[in-house]
Amino acid sequence: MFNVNNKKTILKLSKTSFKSSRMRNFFAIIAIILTTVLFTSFITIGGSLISSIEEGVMRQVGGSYHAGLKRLSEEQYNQIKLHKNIEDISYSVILGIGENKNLEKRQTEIRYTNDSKNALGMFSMPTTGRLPEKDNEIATDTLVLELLGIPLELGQNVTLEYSVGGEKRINTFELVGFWVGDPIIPASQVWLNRSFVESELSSFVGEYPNDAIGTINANVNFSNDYNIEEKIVKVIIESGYSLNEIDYGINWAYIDSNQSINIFPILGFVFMIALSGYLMISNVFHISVAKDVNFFGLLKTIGTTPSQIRRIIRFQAIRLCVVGIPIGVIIGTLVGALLVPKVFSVISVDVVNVEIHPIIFIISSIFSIATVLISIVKPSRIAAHISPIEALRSSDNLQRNNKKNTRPFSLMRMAIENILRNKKKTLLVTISLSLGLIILNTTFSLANSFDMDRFLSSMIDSDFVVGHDSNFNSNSFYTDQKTLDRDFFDSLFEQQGIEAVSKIHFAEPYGIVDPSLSRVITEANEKLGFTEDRLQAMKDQLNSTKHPLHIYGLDGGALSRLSILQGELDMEKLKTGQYVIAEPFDSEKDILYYGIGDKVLLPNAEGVEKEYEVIAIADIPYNISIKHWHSITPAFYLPSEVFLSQIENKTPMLITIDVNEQSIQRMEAFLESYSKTIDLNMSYQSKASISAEYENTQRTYQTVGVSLSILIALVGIMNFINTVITSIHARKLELAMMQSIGMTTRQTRIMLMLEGLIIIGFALLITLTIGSFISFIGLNSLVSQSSVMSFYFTVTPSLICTPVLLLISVLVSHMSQESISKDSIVERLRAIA
Amino acid sequence: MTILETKDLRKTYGKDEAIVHALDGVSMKVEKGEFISIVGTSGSGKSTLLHMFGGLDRPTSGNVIVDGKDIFEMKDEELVIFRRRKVGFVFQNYNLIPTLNVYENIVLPIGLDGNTPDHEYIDQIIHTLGLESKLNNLPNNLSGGQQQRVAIARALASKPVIVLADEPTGNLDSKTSQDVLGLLKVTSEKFKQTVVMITHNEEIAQLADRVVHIEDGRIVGGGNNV
Repeated sequence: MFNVNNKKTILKLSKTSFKSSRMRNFFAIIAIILTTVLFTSFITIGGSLISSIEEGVMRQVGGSYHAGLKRLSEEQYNQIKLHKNIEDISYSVILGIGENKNLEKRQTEIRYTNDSKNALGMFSMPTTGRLPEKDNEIATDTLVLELLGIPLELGQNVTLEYSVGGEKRINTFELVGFWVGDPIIPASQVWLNRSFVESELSSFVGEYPNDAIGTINANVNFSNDYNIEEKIVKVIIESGYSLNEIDYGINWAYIDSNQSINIFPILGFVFMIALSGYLMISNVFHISVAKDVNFFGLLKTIGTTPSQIRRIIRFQAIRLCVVGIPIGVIIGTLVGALLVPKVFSVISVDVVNVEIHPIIFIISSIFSIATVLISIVKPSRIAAHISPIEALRSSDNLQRNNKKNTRPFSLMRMAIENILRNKKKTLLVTISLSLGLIILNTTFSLANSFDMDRFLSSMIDSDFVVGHDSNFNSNSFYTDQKTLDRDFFDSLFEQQGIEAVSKIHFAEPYGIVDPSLSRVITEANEKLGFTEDRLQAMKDQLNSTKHPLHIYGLDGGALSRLSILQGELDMEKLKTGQYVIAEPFDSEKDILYYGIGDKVLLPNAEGVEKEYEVIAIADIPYNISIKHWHSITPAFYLPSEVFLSQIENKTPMLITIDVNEQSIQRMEAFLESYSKTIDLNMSYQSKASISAEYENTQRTYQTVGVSLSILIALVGIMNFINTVITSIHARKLELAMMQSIGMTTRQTRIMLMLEGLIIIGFALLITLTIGSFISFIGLNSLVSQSSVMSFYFTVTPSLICTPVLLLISVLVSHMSQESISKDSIVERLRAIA
Repeated sequence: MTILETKDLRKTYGKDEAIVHALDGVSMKVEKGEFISIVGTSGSGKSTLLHMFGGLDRPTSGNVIVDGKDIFEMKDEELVIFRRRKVGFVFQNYNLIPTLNVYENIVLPIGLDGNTPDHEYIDQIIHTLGLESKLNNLPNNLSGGQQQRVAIARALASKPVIVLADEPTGNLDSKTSQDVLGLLKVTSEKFKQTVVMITHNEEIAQLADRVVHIEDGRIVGGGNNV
């Protein structure tokens, strides 16, 4: 339809008018840069978060591969590896578990692999040296070497003890490779040479058909991580096997990470950024179109079509993007990289993995361009529909009607009139200023909503909690046998200043589940709506004969901390050993496993069952509970005496310690040295360290929130500055004329300053009214969902910013007035004629 | 009584060879109640002269004495205040404030001075100029002639000692020009105002009591009472 010549002309027009609007370009580029910075830093933080959570989970899983196939025969492996959907596949074979005395604390798996990719996928590729190639060679991680007391040097001798088929073997190897061990990965790997492992296993393969030893564990990667389960099932079936023959596992890093991120706050934030960018860019173009109205009118008279005018403006906007977006992307990446560690410490994701990826640049550029193109829609429409005749009479107040106002003259009134000349422009600036202030208020309120007391009581309600490491570290392997040592108590009671010690005993026996508990599943599903998988897991658990129960034995101090939901804590009755307190299914106590008066059968350590009657329903505080659950885990609470005599006689799982004020530091020092030197498996939490963590969290929320709100506020302030400057420059003439009929420079200055101040006043008004309302609702919904926040709302930050804004306003209007006053009145007046 | 006097007024732009003498030793007097017109071609220096009369521009040398005061001995701010009390301007392009309605535009100089207008006097001006029905209109909704009438009213409102009109009919058609000028003359007589008008149009100039001709920054005729 349109020819090349036409395009050239439009481009040329676009270029010439582009060059003449320096100021417009400057502010538009600033707006584009700021918007891009916001998008880029936000996406960098988000992207890093997802990938770090993913990697964190992979480390817990112990591998980065998409899926695993277990206990394959060589024939099965060779068949499956041919499948066309498999991107790569490699395997390892387990010889056994390291049985050296020093390795008791760390599960150490002895394997060989057919491919270094397999070692990489298990985070177990030597970074110093290489994988074994001869039968006497070995490679392992620094954790194993340290436990064995071997220096971190190649060529060292490593003696390994293990069993094959129950027969103990001891062999010595030469260290040819090692890498830094990661304590979060559940097990350490020891690599040996293939032919050595095969000869060791030669007589035993086949004797342990259900065991992992001696069979192929294959790790599989697909071209992407979408719908891995479907892919692996397809591979198994299309290779000619059934799901009964071959066991598969999905790396849940790829499932979990995508589900744990809630999309709505993200969308909300992207919208905020786009809105603040829109407000400024749109305003910049509105102003420039109003200024160039004669130019566009002229173009119209000589026959330029509306769509051509739109294209002229679009060309200009794109040129501005070409300059602004790359700068914004660079700054945004830096800002993001600075903020990532802060954000991560808040949400306790410990893998800092700043994601700098071309895709981030592309996505944020697309968002920015989209914002710019949306922003220029209205200004271009206005420019396109300017009528040539109106253009000649143009002025800011084309649309206004006559007014009957004849109140006495005042500078204030003139200032208000001037602001109201272009209501849309004023509104855009005001909202854009308010946005920054509203977000600032919300951030501060949010940070202050953290309630130290609620936070602490949810985390810890005594000075110290001590237990096996698995109670604090969800990554470490856990059983109910991981209790505190008797030796520890001997040392503990030598310490001074102890006011109270409460013991929490715990057992997890398998009992027969009352089939009537299927009612719980039905009720819970109605209320909470489980996923199909979860529901199936719960049903399977109910149908199985063995079912884990949680039984606590609590000292008086701990018993009194239970929150009783129904019934009474009758110590006399409980001590008879005939009664028990039961836990509800959910914390809202709507769904109960057992009601008061129900009889339950609890097994002791030998599996002998005894009947108890439920006398109360209660919940245990999180900090003294066992933090491991199954799909359905009914829990019961007994007094310690009853637990020890009737369930199991063992040391406690956890204890809480309260000490007097003066002894807090001493106790902390004792616990620290004990857990670092004597019992490495022991771990503790102190109220002091948790409150430090709390303060850190609060500070981080403030830093991140304030950084982002400053950026958004900066957009608003830039928008404001641009508006003030352009409005003063556009009225150069009018102001000169006012001065020619007797307005003094002082009066002019006051009037212009009042204009700025009124806009800031409006912005504050919006912030305090509508803005407060919005943040109030937002905060309320956040706080009500959180167990560690109490509602807190403040507008102080916006009030603190006010003097700064006022100062900026006064300075900007003063400076622009100075700059237009450089020309004499006559020169300015002449410029019009 | 002499209301305005200039003594050897000079204004030069540029330096050395590029020097331009916009005013080259102008001395003239204007008596109270006089209506004079200054005629010259474009570039003759007539606008510069008018700007000097009103204190909008400073001379290179020489004096302008208005109402017995040498206006260029005043500081800028004093000059502005002097201007709004003693001088009324009428410009070729009306220079009305677009956000103020007709009445507000008329009383603006008085408001800027912090005074309340003399309503009776203002009403008389409005009546004379036939603006009664337009008081609530905004300037953009008026014709050129109407806008210039508002500008005249504004110039007279503060009871200045002299009204300076810079090509007041430059943007108007000849019929309207006659009307506006007639009104300017009538009002200045009625309110005993001194008017200095510059124009390039001889025919219009002839409406004045006295016509001063200016060429290349010098008075070449009509300035005879110096």
